[in-house]
Amino acid sequence: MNDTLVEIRGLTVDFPQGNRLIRALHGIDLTVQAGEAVGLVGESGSGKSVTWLAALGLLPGKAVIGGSAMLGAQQLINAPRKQLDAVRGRRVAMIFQDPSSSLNPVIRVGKQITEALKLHRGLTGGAAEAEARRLLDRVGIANAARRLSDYPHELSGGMNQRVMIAMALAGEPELLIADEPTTALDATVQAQILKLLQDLRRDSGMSMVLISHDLGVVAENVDRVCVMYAGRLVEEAPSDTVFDRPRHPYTRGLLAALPALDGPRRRLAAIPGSVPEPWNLPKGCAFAPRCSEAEESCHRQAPPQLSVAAGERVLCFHGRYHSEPVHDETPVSVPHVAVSGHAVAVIAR
Amino acid sequence: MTKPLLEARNLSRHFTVRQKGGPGLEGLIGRKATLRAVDGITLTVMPGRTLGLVGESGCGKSTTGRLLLGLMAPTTGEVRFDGEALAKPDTAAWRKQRQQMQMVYQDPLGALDRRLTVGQQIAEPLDIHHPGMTAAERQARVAEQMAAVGLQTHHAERYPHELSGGQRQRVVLARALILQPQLLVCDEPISALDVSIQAQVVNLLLDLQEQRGLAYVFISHDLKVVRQISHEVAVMYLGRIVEYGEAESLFRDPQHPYTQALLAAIPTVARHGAAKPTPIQGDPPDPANPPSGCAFRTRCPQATALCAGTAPLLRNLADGRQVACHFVDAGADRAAA
Repeated sequence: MNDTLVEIRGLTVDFPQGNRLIRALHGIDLTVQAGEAVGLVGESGSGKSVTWLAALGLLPGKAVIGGSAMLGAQQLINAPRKQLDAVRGRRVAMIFQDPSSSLNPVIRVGKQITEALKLHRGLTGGAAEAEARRLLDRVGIANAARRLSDYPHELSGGMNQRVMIAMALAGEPELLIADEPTTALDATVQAQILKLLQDLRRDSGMSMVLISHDLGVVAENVDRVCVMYAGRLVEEAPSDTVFDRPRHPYTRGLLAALPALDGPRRRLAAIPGSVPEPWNLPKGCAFAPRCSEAEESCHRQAPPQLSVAAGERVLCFHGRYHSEPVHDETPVSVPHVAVSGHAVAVIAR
Repeated sequence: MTKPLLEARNLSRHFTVRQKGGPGLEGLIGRKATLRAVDGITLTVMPGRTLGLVGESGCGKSTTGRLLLGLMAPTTGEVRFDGEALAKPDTAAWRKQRQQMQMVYQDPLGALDRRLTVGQQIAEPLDIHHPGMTAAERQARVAEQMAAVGLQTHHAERYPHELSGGQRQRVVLARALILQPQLLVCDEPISALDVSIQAQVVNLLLDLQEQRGLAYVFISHDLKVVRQISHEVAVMYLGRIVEYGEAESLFRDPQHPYTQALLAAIPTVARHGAAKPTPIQGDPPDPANPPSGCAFRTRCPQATALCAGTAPLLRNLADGRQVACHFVDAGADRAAA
């Protein structure tokens, strides 16, 4: 199946600052197919969360939103609240980074889930409670019946995120937006939650947008990856392609900056400088000042969006040329490769 | 043989907490329980080398860092720095020792004073430890440290909020380095930074180590970064070290089931598309109410009745590594002896 579920076109967001508008999103085009998992990666301030908050009308009222976001035949941008309420939590659900601040600390988790069930599916009383129990069970919480009467502080961070996922599932959504869902969790618990999200998707056929700064998390869990930088989508490709043959210098830089878990240790290739502030964007390509491949033209004019292959887009003058694997194996020059015996001898005392 | 720079022997820190439950008054305020945040750890840091301390939240790695610097008194055990026991806090001897060992925290904005310029803050340790220094010399020392961490002279006049996250962490580093310490304890120093900036700071730490022969205790939950920066690694679980050894071999061939699970849980770009290992179940147990025997047994795929009865001790393996698990190749013991 290849049905388009969400189609975002030319989405822009401006925030007023003093008496001028600061552009945070510079025209995002993005589609999500039914049943598909799309990853959105980028550093803080790149606009990956703002894209979806804008599409769902969750930004503060002063934000100026332009462009279009269609859910099926329904326009979401600047839609009346009543229409959005029929979408949010029902057709599209969202989970966030910090579950303990998204849950109400003084209400038992069972009540919070049944509230969602009442709102989205009209379930009340025993039916709602039975469904809440089923949902908790579905998200892997043992003793679901007993846990319904717990308060969020009585549960661990991982369990609270499971509760958030149960609430998100209450409306039987077609699309789940998971915004850094595991960033606040420990590694072993993160692996459990990501596995749970995959299982849920497999069983329900729901689409997912996974927003994360962690390239590893995205690489292992999505079909298609969109890389964002300074409010623009700079590269989009199937996840196999983007990690093996990244085209945009920023994507290549991010991958080279990541330490590996195996193989020889090499000096990390850091991207120099830092992300520009939205009110102080460079002329031309926003990445040019940090780009090792920038030419004079990159500083003068904004790069075009190139469609380089089926399903592959890149926002770079030079994006067409890079299709070679980038894993270099330069040996390390840092002191710690030399493994000397003395430290080990001390430990073994 | 080189002498160790920092040695901790049988270090413990226990806290008294109140737990839910009990009749009467205890039902309201909770009953007393002992939380063994750090429970008998022994480790060594050699000059110019890096010890990585890894584990999940609540495993005691940050408490260990504070104990190593004497920022917190241990319940049992002792720390020796450069062959001498840590002096009592707030004495002259302690101040002298503390010049040699500094701390770098996760959140640079929280560690900096918003009302002081960056230059003033970097100079502050000099005001405390070298009050007689002339203004000109002080300024020269500040400029030297700022250059060493990759800050420009004009940054000295700025306030913390005017800098980016990566620059702020450089300021914290410059301040920690200005007294020319031999040891830095870095507690999640790059966790709050963006990926592209993390690599800059990791490279900076490695360069500084090479130039100055600094030793680091590098506390982090990010195993990829720990592997990049550490010579030795200690893996902690619920207040104890479960595996300790040379970084390269520990990552290549983890022996303790917890280390194995932790490594398998790290999502990597290299593994995309490939089948993922099944994650271990459950959450880390409540440190105030740990399981009997081996603390990891409640989540361990290999656990048996033996693990519930007896806590495994750290044992040496043939390659010099230490592992606390009943099931790790017992034959290696004899080979090591």
